[in-house]
Amino acid sequence: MNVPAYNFAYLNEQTKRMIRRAILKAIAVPGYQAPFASREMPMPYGWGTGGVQVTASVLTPEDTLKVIDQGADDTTNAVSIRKFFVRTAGVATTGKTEEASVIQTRHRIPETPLTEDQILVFQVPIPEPLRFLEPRETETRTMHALEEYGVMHVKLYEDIAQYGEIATTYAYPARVAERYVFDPSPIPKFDNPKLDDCPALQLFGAGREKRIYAVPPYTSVRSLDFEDHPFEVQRWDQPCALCGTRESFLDEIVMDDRGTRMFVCSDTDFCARNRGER
Amino acid sequence: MTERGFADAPVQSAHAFRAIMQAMARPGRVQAIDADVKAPAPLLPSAAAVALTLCDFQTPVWLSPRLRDERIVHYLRFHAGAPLVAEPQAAQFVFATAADLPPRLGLLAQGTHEYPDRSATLVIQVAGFVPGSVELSGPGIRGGERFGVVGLDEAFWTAMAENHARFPVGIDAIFAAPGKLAAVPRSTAIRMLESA
Amino acid sequence: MYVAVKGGEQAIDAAHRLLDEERRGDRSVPSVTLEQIAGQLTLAVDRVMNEGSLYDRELAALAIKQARGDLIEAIFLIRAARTTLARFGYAEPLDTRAMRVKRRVSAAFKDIPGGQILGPTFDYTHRLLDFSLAGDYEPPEAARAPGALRSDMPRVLEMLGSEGLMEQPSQEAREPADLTQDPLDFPAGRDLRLQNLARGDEGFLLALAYSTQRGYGRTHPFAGEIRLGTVEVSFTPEELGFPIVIGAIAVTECEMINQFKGSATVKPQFTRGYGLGFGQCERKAMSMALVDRALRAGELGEERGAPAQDEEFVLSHSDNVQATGFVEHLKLPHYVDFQSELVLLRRLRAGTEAAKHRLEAAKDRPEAAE
Repeated sequence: MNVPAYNFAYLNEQTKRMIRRAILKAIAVPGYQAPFASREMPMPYGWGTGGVQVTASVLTPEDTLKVIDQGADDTTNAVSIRKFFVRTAGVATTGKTEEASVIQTRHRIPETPLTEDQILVFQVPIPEPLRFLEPRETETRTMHALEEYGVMHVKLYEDIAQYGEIATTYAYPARVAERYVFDPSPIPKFDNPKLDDCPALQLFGAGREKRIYAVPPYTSVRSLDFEDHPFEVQRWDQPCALCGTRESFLDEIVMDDRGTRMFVCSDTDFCARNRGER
Repeated sequence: MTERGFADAPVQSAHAFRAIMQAMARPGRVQAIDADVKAPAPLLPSAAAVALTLCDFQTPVWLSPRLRDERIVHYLRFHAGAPLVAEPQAAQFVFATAADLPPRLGLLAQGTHEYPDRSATLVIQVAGFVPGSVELSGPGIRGGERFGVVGLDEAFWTAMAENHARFPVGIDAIFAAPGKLAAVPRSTAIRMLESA
Repeated sequence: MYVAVKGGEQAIDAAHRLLDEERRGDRSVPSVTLEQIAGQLTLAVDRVMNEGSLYDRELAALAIKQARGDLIEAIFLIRAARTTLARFGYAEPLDTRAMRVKRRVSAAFKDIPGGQILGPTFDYTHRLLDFSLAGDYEPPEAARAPGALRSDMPRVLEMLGSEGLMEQPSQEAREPADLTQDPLDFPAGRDLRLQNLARGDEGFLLALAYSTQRGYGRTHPFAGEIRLGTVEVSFTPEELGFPIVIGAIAVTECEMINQFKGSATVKPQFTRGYGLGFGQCERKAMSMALVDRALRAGELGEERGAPAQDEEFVLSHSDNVQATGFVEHLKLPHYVDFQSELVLLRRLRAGTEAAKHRLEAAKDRPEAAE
């Protein structure tokens, strides 16, 4: 039986060209979900195949790659994706945010501010911010074309009527460059302000849903809100129990079955740096 | 004989794409492009690198009269497998020189409001860049970026400003100079400067 | 003191070693060979080739072995392998009329030119466990037809068509759509729908087909013809300019006859649904034909309300590699999102609690409530 040899970064060149064309369109029309012919990857849909295809298409052999899941470099899926690129592209990897030239992420934006020399690639499960209000692709496409986002504001306002505040805590919709409403992937809304006016290029890949979208550097990303209910991020009563910062998103660790909890940084690299452990 | 394209396609196209992507993401900022690729004159190696990185059998290509040289046609067919079309409006990629641009940018594929991605990319071969004929602003630009291209006059920039006015439909332009390239996508607002 | 968990990499490696061991099973029992899988679990191989969208019995057998018999996992392995293969172009359309038939039945007519040919079928077997198979039972050789079957087996639907009773399939001289090259786009043409169904999950299609029979988009179907056999595959290389035969594949084809349709100007005719798949896959081909017909509701001017008639719903959810990925991805860590929800829920509950206290305090002092 023939054992095949894989191309640089796994994808064949024709697939990369197709993805690269979609990436350029996505950058040219910020926040628009450009369709692309997503391929089956050797990891399941839902595990980050969109992000992996985008990363594979932008990577050069000189890049230093960082992969995080839930803010951590050492979670199983982050490890698995990092190994995939070490094996197929031979790139250097790092856990340190400032050392990375390409960062693939699931559900977080690093706490360390990004620079112009970096590319952030998000893994996206459902790219369509209107999907849970309107399941039909043909309808949501028309809504974007007509810039008809009233239904989204109604949804958010219903939250306020019912709960006294907007009850969306992650995948919080935002408007890119005052045009397209987009889903920033399931990052906590804590991270939404980092999307705005970011020096780094931000690319979003949804493999199963076959969409790529982008936020170019220094682009306005405004989280949807109302004058009387301005957008707010999560706050914690306590600092990180490990490094003491009050500036980061905290994970809750269940210490026992008697209700003892502990709060620590979700961004493990940021926390280690604060503790001087690297 | 046909000039060779990329000697190491996976790596060279990755480098070329990074330059093209950064150019598109940072309008008006000039990027160096490793154009270690032979191309039949007058096709510039940088423009050839763009073609080899982005074009294939799925992308109809139109060549402006000055580029419609038999050797260039053969080169693009052989290395990219790209179908060449007679009418610029049927093309996904339009290659031209600053001296013979397609007559009206508004006639190139613009995409639709439902699918703004179904639009043409205009690749213009230019001699080089000069600062200061237009000021660019918009996504990818911090504040404003002064930009200018040798051989492109006010009429061109007026057409590009009209192109921006059609956003989100419209074309995206890549300027390929020897060893360098820059881009102005449809999202970029254009203001003429006095000196232009 | 809490220490953040490290060592994901070692955990993954160890888990994969355990998986390898479990796959191997009892080492005193010989490892199952690919020849055994490809030669004896043929219908599993057919399904994996079908939904994996790659005709290669040996690779499918390998995938089944690697997947420990989990066919959706095997299909996924085949799809991922397919991504790495170079594409040379499109074959000429298969000519199933020229099929070397192994089985061919029609439920619409008692006898048909070329004959009803039962072939290797579970139909009419009594589903009693056959304990002789638990041992080394070797079946006697099966009887063969005395002469060769017709090499040009007429189609039942063509016979109806020549009488004008059957709608003619549309003939379009364009390249068919290909959802492996372009993302799915709506509305989809019939070519794209059929490709999607051919790759679709057998169970999903079966349930949808069943729902049409129970009234959710009824189509009054008759199994016009089901045939199984081998057909030649031809390909026209660019440099030759004429087609050459590159091999033969086994396929199952189902042509369903459905309720008729007519108008003031067009005489009523039967309509059709079509199903085709690699290998022997009658359940799949029949389900596909029923769903194909249901999806044609719009084109035939029928009211559309049932799930099987809803193109976006059917085509967006038919792919089991996509579906299993997204359902199973809930196993991945989601603690950042969950933490966000926890923070909000606690705050909302605290708000409700405070409001309750205010309300109770107000009740105690009615004058203060003004």
